[in-house]
Amino acid sequence: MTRKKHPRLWTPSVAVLAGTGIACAVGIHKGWGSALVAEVVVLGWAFCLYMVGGDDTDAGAVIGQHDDERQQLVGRRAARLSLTVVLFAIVILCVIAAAAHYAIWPFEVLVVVIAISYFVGLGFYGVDPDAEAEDVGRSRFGWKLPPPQDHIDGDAADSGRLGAC
Amino acid sequence: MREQRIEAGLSQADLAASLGVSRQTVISIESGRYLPSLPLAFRIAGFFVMPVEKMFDPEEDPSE
Repeated sequence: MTRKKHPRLWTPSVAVLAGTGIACAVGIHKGWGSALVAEVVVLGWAFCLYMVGGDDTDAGAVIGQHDDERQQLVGRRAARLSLTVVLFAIVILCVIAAAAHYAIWPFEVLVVVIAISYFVGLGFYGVDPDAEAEDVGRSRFGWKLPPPQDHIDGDAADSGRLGAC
Repeated sequence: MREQRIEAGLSQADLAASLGVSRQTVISIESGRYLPSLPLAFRIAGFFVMPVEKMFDPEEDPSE
């Protein structure tokens, strides 16, 4: 399980921080009365997240950040599904915005950010392709393997014999 | 794993608490819907004092 101090508070805290930022933007654009309404909604949402985080369910464990290895897998699969849905939504909204002569640059920014973070993730979590193998010529049981075909001298290859192992 | 747990007289919640996983994970492993990681498989085998290959027989279908 993930070890964090007060794990159940993490997701609601992130929601409050992000939501307060949005509420501030709403306040600048539409006045502080609207911002207050937005902040109340954000706090209500954060409270719901806190309550769900205490449930004895997979969703509760993932949101409450006390998930074990299977629940982490469930969380990753759910995140992958939501990202796929977001990508489809971006494409559809981008088409609608372009048809209605609205600005499409926010969608382009989102697609670029998602694509860059995807390739950064591949590089970060993948194995370095230039990493040198330490077990060339050995099987996983420690037996010596015959050398690759192109290392066999011409006569041996012609006669079907393998080189010395 | 289900047989071992019942033999030991443990509930799924007891076993989950002993292994440091959720009750849902124990249920998923017992029903064959989730294959545990190697560290967890060794932890389970160690808990029941059994070899891991006996605990998780690849030929056996746990859903049966």
